Formats: sequence, C-alpha cells, structure tokens
Amino acid sequence: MAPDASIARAAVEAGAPTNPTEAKVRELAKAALSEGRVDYLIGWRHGYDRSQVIPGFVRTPEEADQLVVNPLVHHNLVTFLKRNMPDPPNARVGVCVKGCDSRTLVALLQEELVDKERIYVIGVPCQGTIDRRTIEKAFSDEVVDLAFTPETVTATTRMGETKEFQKADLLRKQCSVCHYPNPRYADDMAAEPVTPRAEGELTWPAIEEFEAMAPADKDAVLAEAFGKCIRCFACIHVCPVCVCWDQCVCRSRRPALVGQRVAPEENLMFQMIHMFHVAGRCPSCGACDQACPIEIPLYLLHQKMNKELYDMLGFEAGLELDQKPVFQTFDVDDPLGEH
Amino acid sequence: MAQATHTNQAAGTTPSDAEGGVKVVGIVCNWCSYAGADGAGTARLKQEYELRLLRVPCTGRIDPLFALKAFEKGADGVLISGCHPGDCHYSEGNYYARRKFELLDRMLPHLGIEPDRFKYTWVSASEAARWQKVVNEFVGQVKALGPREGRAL
Amino acid sequence: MRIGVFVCHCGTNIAGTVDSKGIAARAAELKDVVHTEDLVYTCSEPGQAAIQKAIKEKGLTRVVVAACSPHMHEVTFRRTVEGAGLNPFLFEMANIREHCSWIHEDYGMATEKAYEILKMSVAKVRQLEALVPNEVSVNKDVLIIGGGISGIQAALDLADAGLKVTIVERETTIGGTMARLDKTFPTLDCSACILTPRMVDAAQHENIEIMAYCEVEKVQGYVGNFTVDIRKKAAMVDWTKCIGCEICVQKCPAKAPDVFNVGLADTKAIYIPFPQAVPKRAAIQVDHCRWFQQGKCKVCERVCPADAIDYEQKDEYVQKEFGAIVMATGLDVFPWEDYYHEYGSGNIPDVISGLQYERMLNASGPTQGHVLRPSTMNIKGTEPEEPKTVVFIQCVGSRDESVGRPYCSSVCCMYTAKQAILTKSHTGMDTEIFVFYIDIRATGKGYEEFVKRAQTEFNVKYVRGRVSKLYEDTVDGGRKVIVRGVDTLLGKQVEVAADLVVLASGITAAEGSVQLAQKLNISYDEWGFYKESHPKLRPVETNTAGVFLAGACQSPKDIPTAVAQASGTAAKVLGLLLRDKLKTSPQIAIVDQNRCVSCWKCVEVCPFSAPQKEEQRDGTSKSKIIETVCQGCGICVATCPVNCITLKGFTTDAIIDQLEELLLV
Repeated sequence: MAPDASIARAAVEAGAPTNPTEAKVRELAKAALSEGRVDYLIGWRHGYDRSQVIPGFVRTPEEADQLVVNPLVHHNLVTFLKRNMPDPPNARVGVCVKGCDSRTLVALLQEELVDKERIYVIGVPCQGTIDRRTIEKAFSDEVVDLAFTPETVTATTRMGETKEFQKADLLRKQCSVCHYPNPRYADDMAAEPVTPRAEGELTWPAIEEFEAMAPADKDAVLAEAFGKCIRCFACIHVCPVCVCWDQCVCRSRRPALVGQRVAPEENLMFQMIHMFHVAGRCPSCGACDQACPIEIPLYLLHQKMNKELYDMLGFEAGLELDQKPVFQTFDVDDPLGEH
Repeated sequence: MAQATHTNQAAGTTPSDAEGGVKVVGIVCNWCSYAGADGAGTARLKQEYELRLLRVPCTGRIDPLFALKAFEKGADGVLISGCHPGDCHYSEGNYYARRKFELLDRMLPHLGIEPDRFKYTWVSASEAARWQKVVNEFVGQVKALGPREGRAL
Repeated sequence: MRIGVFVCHCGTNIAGTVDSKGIAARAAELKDVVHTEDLVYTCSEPGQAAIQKAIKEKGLTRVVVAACSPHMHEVTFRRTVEGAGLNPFLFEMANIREHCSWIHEDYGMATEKAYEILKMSVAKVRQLEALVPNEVSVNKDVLIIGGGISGIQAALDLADAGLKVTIVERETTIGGTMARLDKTFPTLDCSACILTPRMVDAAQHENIEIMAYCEVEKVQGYVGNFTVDIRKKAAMVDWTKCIGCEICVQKCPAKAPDVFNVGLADTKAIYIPFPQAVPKRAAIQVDHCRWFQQGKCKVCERVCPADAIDYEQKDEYVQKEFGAIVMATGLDVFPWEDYYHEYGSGNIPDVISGLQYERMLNASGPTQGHVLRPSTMNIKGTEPEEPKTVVFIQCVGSRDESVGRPYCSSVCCMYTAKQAILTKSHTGMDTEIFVFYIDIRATGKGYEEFVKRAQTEFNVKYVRGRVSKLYEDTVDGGRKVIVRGVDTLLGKQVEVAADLVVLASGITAAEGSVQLAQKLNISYDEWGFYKESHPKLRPVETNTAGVFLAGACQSPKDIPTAVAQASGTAAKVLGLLLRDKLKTSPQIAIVDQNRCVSCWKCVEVCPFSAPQKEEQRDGTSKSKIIETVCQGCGICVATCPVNCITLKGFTTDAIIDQLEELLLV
C-alpha cells in the first residue's frame, strides 16, 4: 500500500538507515506490521526536510522504512495512546519510546488508562535529544539539513551556509542530567542499554538560577513569561499524562478555577492546575516545553515540582508498573508537616 | 507537655490600616480545626483581626489550587488547618491532603510568594489555646510582610 | 433568588462587640437580599418565629443567620426554616460569635469583620441547592468494647430492651477495674459482691454475647451499618472444654507477673485472674511459659481433667456487623514510678499505689486481706509485719502540671478515705494514719459525711499540704519511710516516720485508647480520654455518628456516675436503633457522568469505597458514587482532575465565590 498521499506531499522520504538503532527500529516495526501484531505503529519520521522530525504513523511494512531515530526525536509519542483508540475502535497500536517517554507510559499503565494488551512497545535507548530551535536562532536563513555524528551536529541552510555545533551544547535541558535514558517498559529494545549521563542523586541545574532569585524577581520573571501565554493548549494536548481533553477544567466555567481574562495570573493559574494534576506522573520529559509556540519556560514549573516530590518523598514518577502515583496514596508515617 | 497559654490578653491591638491592612484566608476542616476555633471563642481567647475562615468537611476536600486561587484574588496569607494525622474524622482525608499541601508549600515560594504567607497545620477540637497561638503567630507573620504585590499570581 | 439575612445580638454576647443592627441594615445592599432583620435571641421561640414569618411573607428562597457557630445551632435553624416550608439545606450560618465577637475587643474592627463574614455566607448561600436526605436500613445489634462495670451496665440495659449485644473484652474476664477493688465508698459494699452478680447476669442473658480475650482489629462502615473485624486471641486453652477448676494454675511451675494484683505478687504462667472471673477460663502467658520459651514442661496438659490445653491454638479472626458501638474501655493507673522520683521511683518497697493497696486490703488478694509492710514480706525466717503508721498522699499524678496531669481524677479523695477507714478495721484503731491532701473533693451523695467519719470516728489525721520527699531511714532500729511534707494550716514543715506509704495515684485512659480511637475515627484529648460531642448537652455521644461513650474512658469518674452514664448511653443507643431506617446526610458527592473521563482516581482514594465503576450503555464505564455509603468528606472531589464531582453543600464554586466576595473590592 502506498504511503498516505497527504503526508507524502509534506514529508521528505528517508533514505537508508543512518545508524544501527534506526535500522533495528525499522526491522522491529516491519515484523510487527507484517505479522499482524499491530494495526499501525507510531514512530518518528522526517518532516519537510532532513532537518526536521515529526511523529510518523506507519501502516505497512514498506512504510516502516520511513522511520528514523536521531537526536531530533524529542517527541513523546505516548501522547497518542492516552485516549480510546478510535481508528479502528479496537486497533492494536505499536509505539516507539525513549527513556523519558517510557516513564509516561508507565504512569498511564499504573492507572490502567492504557490497555497493556493492545500496545506493542519498541524501546529506544536514548543518547540525548537536541532542541532544534537553538540551531535555528544561529542563522538568519532557513535550516534545511542536519547531519549527526556522535558528538557533533552540522547544520546546512537553504543558501548553503553550514555550521558545526557540539551536541552537548544543544541538548534539551533535562537530557544533560538524564538518569533514565533506557526505557522502563518495552516489549523489544532497539539497541543495547546506554550509560546514563548522570547517576546518583538527582540534580536540577536548569532551575537553580531561578530558585536563587528573590521573590519579587521571581514574580517579575514569571509575570513576563506567562503574560505571553495565549492558551493555545498545545502543552496540554502534547502531554501524555494530561488525559481529560475536552473535559479539562481549564475549559470549563464550572467550577470557575480559571476565567477567560487575559492576564499573567490567569495563565499561571491555568499552568499550575495542569502541574498539580500531572504531579506524580510527570517525568519532566519536556514535551510541553518543546510544543509551546512561544517557548515559555514551562520547565521552571514541572522541574521544580518533581524536585520537591523527590525531596519530600524520594518519589520519581513512572519507574515501575506497581508503583502508586504519589497523590493516589499515602504513608501513615509520611515525614511531612508539623504534628 | 506544652504549657497552655490560656490568656485573655488582647492580641493584635494595633489595627492594620485600611490601606496597609492584610487579608488572611483560613480554610479549616469542620470536625477538628473549626471546632478548635469555636473552642477558642468560647474561652474568649483574643486573636488578631485579619483572619477569615472558610469551612469544609475535611482537609481532604481542599484542593491546593484553592490556595493559589486565594492568592490570585488578593489574599495576603493563606492558612489551612485540619485534624492531626491519624485522627481524621473520615479516617484518611488528611493523609492525602498532607502530601498535596507539602508540595504546595514548596511551590509557592517558587511562584514569588514569600514562605511566611502560607501555612498548613493541624489543630484538634480540644486545642483551643493552640488555635489562638497558631492564628496570632501566622497573622503576625503576614502583617510583618504587609500586603502582597505580585503580578505573576 | 430571595435571600433573608438575620443578625443575632445574642444578648450582649455579639452585640456588645459587634453592631448587629448596623450590619443587618447594611446587608440590604447585597445582591438578592430582600429581607434583613436583627434579633436579640434568634434561637429563642420569638426569634425562630420571626424567621418563619419572613420566609412566608417575603417568599424567601434562602436564609442566612449571622450568630453563633453552626456547631451550636445549624440543626436548630434548619428545623426552623423547614417548618416554614423552605428546604432546610437552603440555609447558612455566619459565625460572628465564636469567630468574631468573642475573640475581639475593638468595636469598629469587629463589626467590619462580622460584616465580611456575613457577606461570605451570603455568597455561599447563593450556591446552595435544595437537598433531600436518603434513608438506610439499620442493623440493630450493638457492640460494646470493654467489659467493665460501664460496659456491663450498658449491655444489660440494652439487652433488657430487646437488642442483641456483643461485649468484646481484651482480658480473659469481664469486670474491669471494679473487680480489683475491695470495698466501695461511701457504703463500704464489697465490690465483688455487687459486681459479680452483674457479671453473671451479663453472661447468662440471652441477648448478650461475651467475647473475652478478644480485641477489635478493624472497624469499617458507618452508623447503622458497621462491619467490625475481631481478633480472638489464642489462650492456648480450649475454652469450650476448660471448666475453670484451676488445677493447672496450682501445678504450673513457672512464675509470671500478676497484672491483676498490680505486681504485688506473682501468678503462674497459666492463670485465671480471680476466683469469680466470668468467663472462668484459663489462659497461658506464652512469654513466661516454659513450654513456649524452652520446650520443656507441659504439666498443665498432663493434669487438666478436661483435656483443654491446646499449645497449637492460633489467633482467630471473625467479622461481625453492628448498628452502634459503645466505647467502655475504662481506665489505667498513672505510672507514678516514671515521674515521681522524689517518691522513690518505685524502688522503696513500702511505698505503693492506691490500687496495689486495694489488692492488699482485698481478702482474695495476695495477702489474704492482711495489711503488711512489703519490706517485711517474703523474707525467709521472719514473719511479715503490720504497719503501725500509714501515710496516704493525695494527688499523685493528678492536679499536677509538672507531670502533665492538671486534671482531678475525681475518686482519689474518696478512695483514700475509704482505705484509711479499712486500714483501721484491719490493723486496729491504734494505727496512726495521716492523709496529706490539697483539697478534699467529696461531691457525691453521702461522700462528705463519709470523709467526716474517717476524720472523727476513725481518727484519721488529715494534713493539708504536699509531700516533697520520701526516703528510707532507720529510726529506733527499725526501717522506716520518712515522709517530709508541710502542714499549711499550721504553717510548719512536718515529717512522719511511716511504716507504709500509699500514693493515691490518679486515673489515666486505658492503655491503647488512642490506637483504638483511630480505628473508630473518634476524637480524643491529649491524655487519651475520648471526646464527647458536647460536654454538657451530648456527654455520651461522639462526633462520629453511631459511636457512643460510657464510663471512665470519657473522663475519670466514680462508680455511681459511671453506672448512671452507662444507662444514659444505652438510652441514646436505643434512640438510634429502635427505628427501622436512618436518614443519611444529603451533603454527599455526586459525579457528573457526562464529564467523567474514567480515570478512576476517585475510586482509588475514597476511604469508604463509595465510588464504583458503573458500566454505561455504550460499553464505557463511568464513576458512580453510592449515595448511602458516601460520607461527604470530599476527598474524591479534590482529587478529580476534571472537577466533575460535586460535593453538595461545599461546592468548589461556593468556595471560589466566598474567596471572591472577601478579596475582591
């Protein structure tokens, strides 16, 4: 069956596999599709050009050759699993997950919001993903190609300008301190486990500078950052553990927790509602940061939240299937608050 | 055993000005802290003026977002009080609540709200004197900080 | 919407500090308020009539009363508005007394605060809905935890009224502390003589089941429908066979501490606490039994004529259902040895507690009723001696802030007087007796006369003052306890060289009372005594519907008061259970299934398992909360991310409206 024509217009074809993991993912996807174990599989594919990656839905073994794995695969594909799968209603779905993605899948499985029997999970041990927006800002021209070596990223613009970057400088904020690059849940792994970039106690360097500010300064930064929010809800849609969709309380007038007023405090209230509702299920995968069209630093909120949950209770979201989400349970001896 | 501070001395004798006055919201559980506050009233234990109470059946009913909402609407301080852990009238409400309030307590300074403006505690129905102490200390703290001027929340 | 606002003066309780008239008039400016009135005593008949009149004449659809605490009169006023034809849940109280007029002094500031409180209540009342209570059927069986005199009295009253009663007692016998007493004041009745017939009545009553050597493990459910897990402890003796002949006790070679005799003597590893025990069955204390500790002996098994010993016995668990639970767990004695180091910390043998002395005086006690100096007991070759000088010290562990017990234990003045009188009867009228006291509390019927008798007829010397120190010394070649105290009426320090010192140790809550309270969700104070719903108006109920109190577990008291209270408790239980159906509170949670996203967080967090997965016609499942099980706590409401669960009476919109009313200008 030919690839979906509408995607073919917008997406460029992938070539031969550029690395062993990519090859393995295509191999596993082909097998799952040809053996009929899945009706379709969600992975990553190129976008307009080889400098872009978007989620890819493949329905035939041939289409599986469009799947790619490279430092641009920051997308958390678990978000597509979070509602009843309507296409067709009883579809079995394959999905590729990195380490952080797998934690959101585990969070959904803990709450039985995804049917384990109907998914096939390809685990992709992750060497870190980069923020393409950082590269874009280095040029006045459009970037049309990115080439990767283990340590470098070389960008080429439409006008032919090229520049080499160190991958370490382009890593997304959470990738440089990632403790869990290897998927916590998968049916098959596309590579050998990789060494985490950080081990031991968790650290939160991305928010350290903000935490050290005085209250009035923090207030000013947040007022400015969240004053820009246009409530497009991209962050909500892309977050895998944010499951209420059109019933979301932020869209509802009863109860009136947020209004339609345009103001930083309404926007911040909206974000804090989201944060408290995903608390204990969010691994700071950063999908929300990537999705925000205004680049609002949402990591200031979710990383702080996860840091405090870790400090309070040693809790880390989405690690084991039999873990209970932190606010769905309690310990009589919780060492919290005055007595 | 702490000494009871049964005192009828007037507290908060310096009224805050109308302009520089602070508004402190308290959300308390019906069975323990509301009754403890009643007990403090029956014993005529004098307290600061600035606290206004909202009654809920259990601290488990309290969504941490209520505190954020209160600050957003202009509260200068928020106090939450319920039954001591282990004594919840509904057996478990405050165990769940405790975790949420602790996270809230840690997030508020991150949002630019001084730590002294929020407190969660446990006051039982028989702890009238303790209620007086909690109220006077907390409202005093908030008064010392003055009205909150924030733009982010 | 037509809101009526009524502001109470409460005499001068409110109006003395708050301008009730003024804020009532101001309330007319609030949206939807069509009637305002100030009343001098709103809860009085004319006050309530005024509310009803306004409801009818002005067609009020909501009512706010600004007065005392809802804990005081919410029930009263709900009835008032219902009487005028308005749904009782369209009513809200603003607390401007306990939370305002009584805690402030500045008239202007208190009035402003009262008006803000009133405004918040008006904002809330706009969000209230008409509610109709549900009904549940009621289980008429009663559980009584504790088989002392209070538990027994309540059990007999309830059983006589036709209800089935189960007494769960953690010792091997019922009887409680009263079984350890010798005589009771002021009549000097023999305690066992008046108690044991009651114990037998309870055992033989067709409506009473005694579960002795059992403990309550878990309590679930709610008023009218409790499910209780009870652990039947392994006595290592088959009680269906044991006949209480006590041969095993006589032959057992292993000694064990005797809790019943308060450590005055030893008992055996296999024991029956006292001869009139009900049920009279043996139990093995495995920590002291040679078979369990060393694998040797088994003498009891050999000598038992009924073949009742069973070393393999295990704890058994049963589950039973009850409509009401009575707490009658009684008391323990203040552990003075841990606090009163000036009295020797328990190391001076001739210094004993009041309860130990009671056992000594008792004819079936370890000394067969002989009053003896413990320092002379159990010494080879010498006969124990009777004391010639006995000193009693009142208020040990009572009325003493320094040990954290500021309360009065109620019975010690009387039992000391009783013990003084009995001492003279046992050891002769020439025994010298001193009682060091602070005040004498003899408030019951015949009590004052009894104390006077001790002082006049029995020549007991009462010395008003505390004792600062006890220490041993040799006086005239004899071992004495020196009592150093003060006689404040003479203004002098005094010293007495005593042969025996009895400390009137105070009453504490029974051991484990706090853990048990937590299982039942009832409140307790800092000393573990259970909290009554209201000290004057509801002294035998707790704030947990269906759980009642009887006896010393609520506060220290004497036997007449405990028995009277127990009968009162029985009456309250009957009032609850003699109906077939109970109305449940309609302030419960309801799921808007249109918005439910089936995340099941509500199902996870509810302590009562009220939300259930309900299958819909299209095959999906949504949460449904069982109305009669929901207790209205709101945990699910705060947990639901969609916020699609509404808690009637305490909705999120009501909370937000109150905040906005207060904070926005």
